[in-house]
Order: sequence, then structure tokens, then C-alpha cells
Amino acid sequence: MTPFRITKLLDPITTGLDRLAQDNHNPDVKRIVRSALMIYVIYHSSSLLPYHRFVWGDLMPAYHGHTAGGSALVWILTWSRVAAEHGLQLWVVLAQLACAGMALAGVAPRLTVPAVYVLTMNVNAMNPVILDGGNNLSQLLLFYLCFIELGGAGPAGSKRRALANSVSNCALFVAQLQVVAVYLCAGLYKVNGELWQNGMALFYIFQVDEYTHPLVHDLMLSAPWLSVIGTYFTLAFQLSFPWVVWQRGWPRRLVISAGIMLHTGIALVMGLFAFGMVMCLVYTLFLEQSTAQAICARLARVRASLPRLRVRAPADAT
Amino acid sequence: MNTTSLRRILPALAVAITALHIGMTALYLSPSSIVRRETQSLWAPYMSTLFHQNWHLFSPDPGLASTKLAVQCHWDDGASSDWIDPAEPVLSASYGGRRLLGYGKLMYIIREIPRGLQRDMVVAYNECRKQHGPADPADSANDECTLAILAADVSRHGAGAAARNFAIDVCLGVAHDRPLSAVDYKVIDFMPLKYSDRARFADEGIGWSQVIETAYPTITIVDEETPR
Repeated sequence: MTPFRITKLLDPITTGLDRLAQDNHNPDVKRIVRSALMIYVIYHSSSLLPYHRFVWGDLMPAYHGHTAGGSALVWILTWSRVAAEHGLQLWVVLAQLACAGMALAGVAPRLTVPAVYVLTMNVNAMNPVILDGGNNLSQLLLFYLCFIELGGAGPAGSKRRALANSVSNCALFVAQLQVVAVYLCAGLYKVNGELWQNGMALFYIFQVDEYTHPLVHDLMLSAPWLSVIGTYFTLAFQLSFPWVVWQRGWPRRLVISAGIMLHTGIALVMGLFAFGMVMCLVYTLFLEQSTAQAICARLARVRASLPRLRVRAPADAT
Repeated sequence: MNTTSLRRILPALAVAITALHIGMTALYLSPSSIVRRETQSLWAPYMSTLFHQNWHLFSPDPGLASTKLAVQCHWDDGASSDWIDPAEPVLSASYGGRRLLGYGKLMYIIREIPRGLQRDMVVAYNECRKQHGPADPADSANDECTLAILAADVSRHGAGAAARNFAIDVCLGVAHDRPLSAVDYKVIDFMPLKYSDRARFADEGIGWSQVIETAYPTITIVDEETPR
């Protein structure tokens, strides 16, 4: 093969690498994803703040079986267990909320987002009993967000900017793949279950006290065909999401709408409010830049229209 | 090497690391296979600390039982309470809309108490059977692995101790000024109605196909010296 042909073959790759490095793609999407994750972190911790001694402190009744110790990395992510033993769990949670608030406000996100990640891992380490799939996913996405935030760092045209943009753009893609992996795995595991195959999974799930509501419990027993619809809808959604979400336009909007419907039901009916909330929030990863830009512009207009607090200097008072 | 080449190496490096991470995650999440088993020494240390994940969300089959801890209090004056479900106030509040305010998560903690106890009992039973061999129905009186014997040890540490302490706390919370003499507690599994039996709910008001109770030895309260 002549050098000219080799160069022609490598053209798409080099063009792709140049695109990856030159621009921080989807900057408004990244901004919205950061806000979404911070909203979840703030909601999750603040809803449990009134019960901090019961959830993370000395009044915690369930046995969580963890011990402090391990490698340096494990220590960085679990030092809060020692703090909780000394009654300092509230300060860990407050620090997490403070950093999340700053990250939400856009204050030094390249510093505050990693701080939120470390503090969230520590808050979660204090009581693994309360963690569910939503916490698992948010931990992973917060880690990726630390790299997503690097986009645009460094002087324009510099190698540092090239690396930062590449890492940021790759991290966004990995975060999207992570969400897809959740649905792919959950769907494939379900398909192997007899109750999911015969459409009766929801009939039995909605008889478990902590995963139901009395109205839905009675409805499911009186109209079991609803279980068949709901079960197959869940399967169809989870198995189609990994493929349809990459299609721009109405297919993506349709599958995300289905997801919002499913997770709102999970949040309100099954009591898994935090889980349902985070699953809806992570759909922001799949926003198109034009949509994200419009949302950010609208929020900026709203912020600009709010009355501003004016502080008068003493000389202005006269 | 010119600047353009160097600037392409950096994104190439980012892509390579991304591809490696995606590959490791794919292996971690993939079903059991010879490739997964043979490469476990590579992906397991990488994934376990920062990227642990489990997406068995009510799958392959959802858990069916509603597991509860029930507590009965006995006081020095001879009075006893009804069986108390400590989860009931939290569950009722959760149904009333407080699941938006963290009550759903509080339920995770309360339901973990009986489940942790059951798990510890199963582990203790299996260990005991390994040590003493299979159960002999003809000689059940000398069986070393009965609930009473195992519960005494299980309730001294871990989830067993947590369940025991929680039961005592429930009774202390019921009437703090009355001297408590003993506490009974049991784990109750409520199995759901089968599809074929669903008419029993409408006709007879029966909500469960089966109720399995596992009663644990009574806790005798010896003033402040009760080991907690």
C-alpha cells in the first residue's frame, strides 16, 4: 500500500482526533448534567438531614458491617466512618451539601465537583444500608463528571487544552454509555426471570409492603392485567433504550419520555423517590446541544430578570 | 515529532484510556464466561474500588416476601403489650406522601434489621451443619443447630445484636417510665397472594398466601446490666 493510501485511511482518524481535541463539545449539556447531579446530591442528603443520627450516627439501628481501613484510596473515600464514630457525621453531610451548592452555582466546578465526589462517597460509606441503584449510578457519574468539567481548561490552542477537551469529551461519552449499561444489564437480567417473562412481576412486587402503595396494591389484585402491561412495558423500555437513545429526534424523545413515565411511577408508587429522581435527571446526558443551549439561555434570562440586591456605599446615600 | 503530531497523541491517549475503561466495564458486567473468568485478575482490582456496580434491579426475579420484625414488651407489673411492628409508623407516613421527604430511605434501615438477622441465622446454621453434619430427625433433641442454640450466639454480635438491641429500644420507647422485664421478638415473612388466590383478597380480606414466623428466645432485662 502506498503512503498516499495509508494517509487516506488515517484521515478519518486524524480528523476525529482533531475534532476531539479542538473543541469542548456540548458545553451546555455538560453544564446541565452538573446541575442535575448536584440537585440529586442536595435532595438526597438534605431529605435525610433531620434524621442524621438515625441514618449515619449513633442511633443507627441496623448493622452495616463495615470497618474502617484499607488502601490510601479507600481511606480517602471512607474516612467519614471514623468521623461518624465520633458523632461528626453531620459535619460530613453539611460539607457535602455546601460543596454541592457551590458546584450547582457554578463556583469553581473543577474543584467543587471532585470535592462533592469524595464527600458523597464518604457520606455513602457511613451507611451502605440506605444505598440503592440510584446512589450507585450517581457515584459513577460524579466520578466521570470530575473529568467532564476539565473541558476548556488551558490556553486556546495549547496541548493542555487539547488534552482537557479530549478527556472531557470522552468522559461525557463514557457517562452516556454508563446509563445505557444500566438499562442493558437490568433488561437482560429481567428477561431471564420467569415472573418478568410471564408478565406477573409487578403483580407480586406491588404486594411487598415497602414497594407499593395501598391503592396500587388493591388495584393490582383486582386488575392483574395491569401487571402484564406494566411488566412488558418495563421490559420493552429497558431493552430498547440502549439502541434507541442514540437516534436523534423523535425516537430519542420517545424513549426518554417513556423512561420519565416509568421512573415517575417508580418514585411515587414504589417509594423509591431518590432512585426515580436520579434516573430522570441522568437523561440530561442525552440532551442535544441546541436544546441545552436554549435551556441555559432561558435560565440566564430568568436569572437576569430577578431583582438584584443593591448595596449602597455610604457616599451614595446622600 | 511536530506539534500537530504531539497534539494528536494526547487525544489518542484519552481515547485509548476510554476504550480500556469501557472494555473493563464490559467484562465486569458481562455474564459468566471463560473470557470473564480468565481476565478476572485484570478487571476485578480495577473495577472494585471506584466502579463497583450492580444492576440486578428486581431481577432476574423480584423478592416476594414482606419481612418484618415484631416486638412484644413485658413489664415488671405483669402487663404485656400487643405485638408491635416498629416499621408501621414509618410505612404509614411513607404512604401518606413522606416518601418524598426521605421516609423511603428510612424504610431501608428498618427492613434491614430483620433481614440482617435472618441472613446471620442462615450463615450460622450452615456453619453449624458443616461442623455437626446433617440433621437427624430421629435425634432432634440432641441437635446442636437449633434456633435457640444458634440465636444465643448470633444475638451477641453483628446483625443479630442489632436486632436484639432494636427490640429492646422499641420497648423502652413504648413506656420509658415502666420497668421492663422481658422482650420477645420474632421475624415474620408475609408471602404474597398467588394470582390463582387473588379472589381471597376481595372475598375474605386475606392479603397473604402464607405467613412464616420465626420466634427468637426471650430477652430477659436485668436492670442496667443487660448486655447490649
